[in-house]
Order: sequence, then C-alpha cells, then structure tokens
Amino acid sequence: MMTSPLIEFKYVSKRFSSMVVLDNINVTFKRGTITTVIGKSGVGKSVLLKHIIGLIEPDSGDILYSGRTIASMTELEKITLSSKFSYMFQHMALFDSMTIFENIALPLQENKKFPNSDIEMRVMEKMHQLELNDIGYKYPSQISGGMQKRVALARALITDPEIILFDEPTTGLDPIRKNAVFNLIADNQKQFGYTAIIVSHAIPDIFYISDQIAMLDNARILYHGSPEIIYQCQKQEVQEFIRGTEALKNKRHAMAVGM
Amino acid sequence: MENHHHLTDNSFFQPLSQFFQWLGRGFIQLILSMGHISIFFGKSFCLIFSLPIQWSKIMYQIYFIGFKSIVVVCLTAAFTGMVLGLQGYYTLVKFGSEGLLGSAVALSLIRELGPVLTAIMIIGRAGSSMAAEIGIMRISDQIDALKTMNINAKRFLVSPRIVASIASFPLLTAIFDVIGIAGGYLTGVILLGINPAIYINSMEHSVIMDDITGGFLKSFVFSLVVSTICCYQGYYTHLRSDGFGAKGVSISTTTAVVKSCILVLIADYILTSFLL
Repeated sequence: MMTSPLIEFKYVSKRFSSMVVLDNINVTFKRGTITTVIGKSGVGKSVLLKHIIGLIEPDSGDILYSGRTIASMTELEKITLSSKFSYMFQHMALFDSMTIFENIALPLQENKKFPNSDIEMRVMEKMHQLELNDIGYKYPSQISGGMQKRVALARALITDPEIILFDEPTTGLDPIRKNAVFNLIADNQKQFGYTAIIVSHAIPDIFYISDQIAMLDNARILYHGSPEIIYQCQKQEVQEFIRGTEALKNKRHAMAVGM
Repeated sequence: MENHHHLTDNSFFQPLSQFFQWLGRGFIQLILSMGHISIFFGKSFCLIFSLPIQWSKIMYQIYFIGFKSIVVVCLTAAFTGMVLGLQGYYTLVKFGSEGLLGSAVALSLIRELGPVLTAIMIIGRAGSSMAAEIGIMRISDQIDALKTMNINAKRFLVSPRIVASIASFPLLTAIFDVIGIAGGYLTGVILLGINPAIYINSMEHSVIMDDITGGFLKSFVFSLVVSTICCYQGYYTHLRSDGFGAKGVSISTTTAVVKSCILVLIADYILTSFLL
C-alpha cells in the first residue's frame, strides 16, 4: 500500500467572526488510505473537509496536494484537481427537482466522459449495490432520510474518484445498513484504491475500516494515529470521547446492580 | 468661552459629517455591488457559449419563462389595450380626433407599454421563481454540491436562464403588442363605434419600423437586466446580512422583484431618451 502524504494541512487556521474553528492545524492524509476525523459535534470537522475540496478558504496556512500548495495552482490545475475529488455532504445536498436516477447520473452527464448507455448502466449498478432498486423515478422528498443518505453515497461513488470525502455517511441509518455502508466504503477502497477521508461519530465501528484516526478538539488535532493505539492514548479528552458509550453502559450496569 | 464654542461647532458638524459618511458608504456600496453584478453577468453570459451548448436546459427555461407566461401576458395585454382604447377615445373625442385612436393605442403599446409591462409581468411570474429556486439551492448546499462535482454552477444555473430570457422577452412583447392593439380595437371600434378602417389606417400610417425595433431593443435589454438581477439575488442569498435560511430566500426573492422592476423603469427611461 502506498502511504505517501496526499493532502497536507500546514498551520491552517480558520475563524468565523470571533470563533476560532481551526487553530494552526497540521495534519496529513496518506494516499490510498482511509482516515477518519472524529470529534464532538460542532467542533469543525466538516469545516476541515470543506477546506480540502476548496469550498472554504483558510485564513492562514497552506493546504498541499501531492506536495504542491493548492492556493498557488492555476485555475486549470484547480479544475483538474477538483475532478479527482468527490464529496458526500452531511445533509446530502440532493437536487430536489431531479429524480434519484438523475441525481446519481448528474456528475457523469455533465462531465461528458461516457455515452448515455454507459451512464445508465453504471447508475443502475450503483443503485443495485446500495439497495436503491426501483426508486430511480422518485424525487428525494419522496424517499426516507436513510435512502437519501444512500443516494448521496451513490452519487459520490459514481465517478470512481481518487479522493472521496464523506461527511457523516451513516448518520440516520439503522445498524445493518450502517455496517453495509462501511463495508461498501472499505470494499470499494480496496478495489479502486481511492483515498477516503471520513467524518463520523460511529465509534467504534468506524475504527474497523480506518487506517488512521484524527481527533479534532478545541480547534486543534488532539490525536492522529492508528485506530489500534487510540485506546492507549493518555489524553483525557480522547478517552472521554471514544469511551463515551462505554461509560454510559457502565453507568447503566451499576444502576442495575444497585437495584 | 472658547470651550463652549468648540462644543457648539462639534454638535453642528458631527451630524453633517455622519450624514456624508453614510452617503459615501452607501455610494461605495452601490458601486461595489454594480461591479459585482457586472462580473456575475459577464461570466454567466460568456459561459453560454462554452461547449456543449446546454440545449435541453435552455429549452426547459424557454418553456418555463416564456411559454408559461403567455396567459398572464395575454390577459394583461388585453385589458391594457382596452383601457387605452377607452381613455384614448374619451380624450381624443374632445378634439374631434377619435380617428387617431388606432395610432395612439399602437404607439403607446409598441414603444412603451408592451416592453415594460411584459417585463414586469415576467418578473412577477418567472423572475421571483428564479431567485427563490436558486436561493433554496444555495442554502441547501446544492450549489456547493455542483462545485464538488466539477460542474460550473453559473453555467448550469444562470446561463440557460439568460438565454431563455433573451428569447422569451421579445416574443412575449410581440404577443403583448398584438393582443393590446386587438383590445384597443375591441373598445374603440366594437364598443364605441369608430370606423374600423380608420382605426387600422391611422395605425398603419403612424407606426414605423423604428418603433417596433425600439420596442424589441428595450425588451432585449430588460431580459438581460431581469435574468441577471433575479439569478444574482438567489445565487448570493447566503451572503445576506439581513436574513438567513428561509428568511434569507424570501428577502432575496422580494429584493429581486423590487430591484428588477425599478431597474426596468430606469432602463426604459434611458433607452427612450436615446431612441427618440
């Protein structure tokens, strides 16, 4: 497996009004790996993802792609670079005036890389993989939130991109479908070798498919390393976060024993 | 004593200075937003010609902006022509010049009322919808999603609407003119008894090709103004400081309608002063 840094954050800072969201962040995302960004809600994980794809510009610091600063690239280079990315939005961002089929097919249709017959075949295949059969003619408002999530996932995967950014891909899914989505991400990643950066709260499930974990807290990267050793991390905030459900379980157990 | 004078001077100049600061700030803001809108229009207009031409989207927008506005334009035109016929008749009859009714109705409609009222009706029906649709796409991350798919949002959303407006405004203006003249004929000839030959003849003799070209030139300019303002307001909904989310979209839509109407009337005055 190639592990050279593909994306690097160097002293990246971002603030919205008086709120500092990223404070001199240094983090690397290695080529061909799955990195998961964890952290409390509202800590700036989505902001970090949006910096990578250029939806948000940093106030200071550099973001590098393959060793080159993205800000110093020409417009043409930026367009070429963005064609390598795919992004799955937290709130799906499906086009509500288009059918499910049209939503998934849009990136292929607009970039004109394939004939229409190929586009249809690829879309149908992806819909089948994500258990979205027979809803191609429906509109996003006519399907459930979980289905919308899978449609957004299908749209992110349809172009076979080099880098995929997943913003909470399993929120709102039942445990079976959640694991199916994680399996799909991991299997596709093994098959096509893309680099995945995932924002997720699904602990510990997400650890099983991740090569690296980065924890964001108080505008800084608190932990960056493999999921196997995160449990040995001495930082209290890290332990509190990853053992949050465990603590709840223990409390319930203690209450039951007490009764 | 000197201190007292100093205070008096300050209390006199401070409101004046604040007024000029407010005026200057407003003027700078106006110039900045005009520049921003011009760049937005320039980029969107150039993207019309980027290949492949988006025929299906353009045709859909022509259907939405043009075809679906026909009924409302026809109704407005018919009643405008009828009112012009009535008012014109009772004014001209005082001078024994009711024979000029055809000329008065046709010239008013072709030169002024046709292009202006058509534009205002389209603003109400399609312009508000452009601003609201694009605004909702903005606040629900759909425009960002286009960017992440390497799709140029201005080309995808704005360019087809500009082309469709350029195609629809003059055609709807032509329909407005014809229906309006028929409305004037209805009141002037059928209800008030003017000789039909005189009505048609006076119209034929007074309306020249320059009047028709001028009317179409106005509707062409209005199409650019309306489509640009309405799309711009929706596209930058997220940058509003006076409202966010659904409220932001509603303010953007209202602003799009109000600004488009005002700019159509300003542009009409400027064009008329050049054309006459």
